[in-house]
Parts: sequence; structure tokens; C-alpha cells
Amino acid sequence: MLAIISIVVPVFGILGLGFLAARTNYLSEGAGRTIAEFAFKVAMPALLFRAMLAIGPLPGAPWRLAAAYIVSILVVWIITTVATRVLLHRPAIDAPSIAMGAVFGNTVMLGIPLTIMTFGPDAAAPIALLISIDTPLLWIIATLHIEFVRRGTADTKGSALGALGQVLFDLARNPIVVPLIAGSLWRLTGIGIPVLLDRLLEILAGAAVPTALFSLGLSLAAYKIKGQAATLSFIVLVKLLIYPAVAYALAVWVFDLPPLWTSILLLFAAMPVGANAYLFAIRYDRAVNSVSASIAVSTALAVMTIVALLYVLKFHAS
Amino acid sequence: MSSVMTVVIPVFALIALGFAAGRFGYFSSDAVKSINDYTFSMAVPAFMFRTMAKLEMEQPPVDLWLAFFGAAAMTWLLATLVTLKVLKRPAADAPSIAMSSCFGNVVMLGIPMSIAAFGEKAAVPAAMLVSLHTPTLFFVGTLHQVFTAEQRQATLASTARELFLELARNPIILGIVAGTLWRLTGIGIHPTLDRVLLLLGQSSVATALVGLGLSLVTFEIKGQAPTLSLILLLKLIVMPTLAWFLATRLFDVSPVATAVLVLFAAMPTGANAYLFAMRSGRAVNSASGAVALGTLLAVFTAAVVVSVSGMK
Repeated sequence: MLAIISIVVPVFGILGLGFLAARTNYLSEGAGRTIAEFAFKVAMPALLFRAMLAIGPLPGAPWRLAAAYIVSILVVWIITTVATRVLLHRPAIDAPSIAMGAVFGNTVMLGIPLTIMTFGPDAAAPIALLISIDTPLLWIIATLHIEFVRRGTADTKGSALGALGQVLFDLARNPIVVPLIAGSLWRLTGIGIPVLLDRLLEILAGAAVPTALFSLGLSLAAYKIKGQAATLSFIVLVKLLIYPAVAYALAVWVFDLPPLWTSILLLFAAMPVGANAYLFAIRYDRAVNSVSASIAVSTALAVMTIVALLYVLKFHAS
Repeated sequence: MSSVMTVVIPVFALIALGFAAGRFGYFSSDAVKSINDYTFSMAVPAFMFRTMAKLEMEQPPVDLWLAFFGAAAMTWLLATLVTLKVLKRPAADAPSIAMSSCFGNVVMLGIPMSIAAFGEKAAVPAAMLVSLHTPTLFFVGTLHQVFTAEQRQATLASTARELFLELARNPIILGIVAGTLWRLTGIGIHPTLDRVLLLLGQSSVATALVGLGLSLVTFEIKGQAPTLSLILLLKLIVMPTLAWFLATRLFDVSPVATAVLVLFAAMPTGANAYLFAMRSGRAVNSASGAVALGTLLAVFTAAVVVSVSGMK
């Protein structure tokens, strides 16, 4: 239990400090946006680029980890889409936003810090793989899904192809996707990294975890808790419990992943709702309030679910 | 490749990165202020709190302070003399010019550089110098200003009170005071709290350097050439030489502490000196030029100091 406290308390402690700093006006909301920009556009890319270069031999076939992740995303996406109609009685066009909330975890700002602090540098390779899948895949699925529904309802503005092209264009400039690709290409060339550049990236990477957590805390103060209680609770329930359960079941029974990979996949799946889900909801103006609220609520509840999860993982390992 | 370069180049490359980000609008417009807010209000206070709370020291480092502030006092006097005799400027310009010649950028550049060059053991002397740096220099500068002002606008007492109130709200000073009080209680720092403070403190290296680069965008190399060059000479060469002389010949300072204090003395003019000049409206352009050009030239002077001090 002590080991878990020494992981969870610093992570949520720094996040809490950021939240407190915003609530007491010690730092402005604008400061939160900029520190987040620094974390997301400078420090995290440096960390991911170095991680890609440092990837050692893998304990299993990476495609199995990727497949387990992708299949669990698809399963939960379908469950959510059906539930939007049947359980929540909402129009089909709301489903992509709600599914995005239920599946898009805060893998970068919270997942990377937690996974690195729990599993150490061995986690870098699987993290990089999962991160490189989740942002592109989820944006593409969500865009295809909503454009498909729009076609069905004759609510067409612009072509589906155009919307997808825009998403691909955004991804090609995404500061998380670019360093992952650049890092793996660099590694393939085999030239190694100059010592000065590595030192520079190391200093930047050292700021990634604290600034990511702190700015996440700052930004949480801005999300209002509103929206439909039913939709909100559904998103939080799926994100924190059902999706991790699906991912775990697939990892163990279908894809037979090594224990470290199972743990990392489970931890990633258990992350609270990430800001990308909110960005998607805003772009199409669907279920915006529920998704916004689900970020705040699920992050607060994640303190408990993650402690429980880490407890199980450590118990399982020993 | 020499180890000096592996310290100096990444540090200045990060500043350049921040500068480029500012120039090309990579961040949104309020980035300068916000990143520096984080550095000054969270990361550096956490670093100072942790260093002070874990300090294992019997006595205050009097010799370290005497060597550093002795060098600062001598540089201040020299700057005042130069203002009056060489530059033939009015006495009321002296406080601004002296401040630009003495107030180095110890927080945004001094702390990251000393940690990059000398490692964790630089933290204690660095914290000790930072703790007195702003209060002492601002107190001296304000006194000097009050005595040379052409019309007395403020009394000594009101100026001192204003300065005290300002320092009492300064998060870095608060971090130092809180850390010292925490140590006196004898509770000790729980490893989990220690980790939080360590993470926040470490992040200050990157945010301070990138933030410094971002803020340099607003500074221009301007001001009268004679004033500007004399400020740079005093700040980058005279003050560190005096500090080195005092630390090695006159006072009893350990090698690590000497290295840190000479490096701190060699730091280029900090943005605070510019704010100080702005307040009195004296030698403002020279102060701005000293921050911009001084930071650029510090690549060379810092490299010299680090290589002379010897590495870890």
C-alpha cells in the first residue's frame, strides 16, 4: 500500500496543487492554458522522442498489444453507441461524442506520468505504442462515425472525405504524434543521438510530468459540472469501469499479453476522460455539457479507482 | 567534446528555443507571463522550500555571503563612480546603472546553470545566495534612489515599508521562509512530499530557460553605447572577478560554493534590474540593452567560469 501511496499522492498532489492554484486565483486560468501548451507542445514531445530512441527489446509481439487495445476500443465504442439509443434515448448523432467521452482517456497528461512512475523506464515502449494508436485512431473513428450518421440524416455540410482529410491534416501536425514518428524514424537510421541534443531533450523531458499534471489541475477548475445526469454517469461508468474491464478481459483471455503489458494496457484504459473528447464534442456541438462535466467528475473519481487498480496490480504481481 | 560545452550549449539552446517560440508565435500570446508565473510562483518556490527544509548546516554561510555581496558592493560603488566621472551622467542615474551592473539573473539562469554544471550539491549555496539576493540589492538600490532623487517623492520609511510588503508577497521568499520554519519544527520531509517538491523543482530548469528566452523577445538592444558597454563590463567581467578574488583570497568558502558564487556573480543582468530602472525612469534603455545583449554574451562568460571552476 505504501508503494501505491508514493505513486498516487505525488501525481494527484501536483494535480491538486494546480487545481488549488486556479481556485484561489494564485495563478490565472490563462496560465493554465499556457503551461498546458508548454507541457503538450514542448516537454511531452521531448519525452516521447527520447522514449522512442531508447526503446529496448520488447517482451512480446507488439502487434498483440496494439490489437488488444484496438479491439477493446471498438467493443466499447459499439456498446456506447447502442446504449446511447437504447438506454439514454438520445439521437444517433450524439453517439460519437458520448463514445469519445467514454473511450478517450487522459493518456498523455495523466497516463504517461502514472505509468512511468509505476513501472519505470521499461514502460516507455508500450506507452509509446499505445499513445501512437489512440489519438489518431479515435479521431478517425469518431469523425467517420459522425459523418456517416450525418449522411443518414441528410444533415450534410461539406463532404465526409473533407472532414476526414482535415483530421488527418491535424494529426500530421499533432505535437504528440509527430515526435513519435520522428523518434522511430531516427532510431531506424541508427545514427544515434548527439550528446548535446540529448541533454537538451533530457532537461525538457524532466519538466513534462510536473507541468502536465499541474496544468491539468489548473484546467479542471474551468470545467463546470452540468449536463444530463444520466449521460454523465453513463460516460463516467464506462470510462472508469467497463472499458478497463473489457481491456483486461481481452488482454488476458484473447491476446495472452505478458503481465507488464496487461498492467500498462489496463492502467491506460482506466484513465479518466481526456480533454480531446471535449474538443471533439465542441467541434460538432454534440453532448458538450455532459462530456465537459465527465472530465471533471471522472478525474476526481479516478483518485479512488486508480488506487484500487494499482492495489490489484501490485497484489497480482507479488 | 569538453564537458563545459555539454553544460553551456544545452542551457543556451533552451533559451534560444524559447526566443524562437516567442518570435514565431508557437505559443499563444500570453505565454511569457504564464510560463514565468509557473516558474516563479510554483517551481522555484518548491525548489527553495525543499532545499531549505532539508538543509544540514550548523551556521549561516557568512563567508559565502560576504564574498558575494562584498563583490556586489564594490561593483555598485564602481558603477556609481563610472556614472558620475566617466559617463558624466547625473547622480540620479546611478542607482539604475548600478542595479543593471549588479543584479544578475540568478533565478532563471543561475539556478539552472549551477545545477546543470555542478549537480545537486550546488543547490544549497544557490539557495543561500538567492535568499538574500533580491532583498539586499533592492534595498540598497531603493535607498540609493531615495537619496539621489531630484525631488523627494517618498520618505525613507515609506519606501522601506513598500519594499518589505513587496518581498513579503514574493513566492520565492515565502518558499525560503516556509522551508526554514519547516526545518526548525524538526518534522522532516516525508518521502512522498519530497517527491512532489523534487518533481516541481526539477521542472523549473526547463520552464525558467524557455521562459527566459520567451521574455527576451520584448527586450531590445538599445541605450547609449558607452553606458551599455560599461554595464556589461562590470556585470560580466568585473563582478565575477571580484567575487572569485574575495572567495579564494579573503574568505573561507568551499570549492563547490566558490564555483556557484562566481557563476552567480557572472550572470547577465536580470529582468528585475529593468523593472527597477522603469520605476525611476532612469537609464531604462540601457537596462533593456543590458538584459538582451548581456544574456547573449553570457554564453562566453559562463563557459569561462564553468571551465575555470572545474566540473563536478
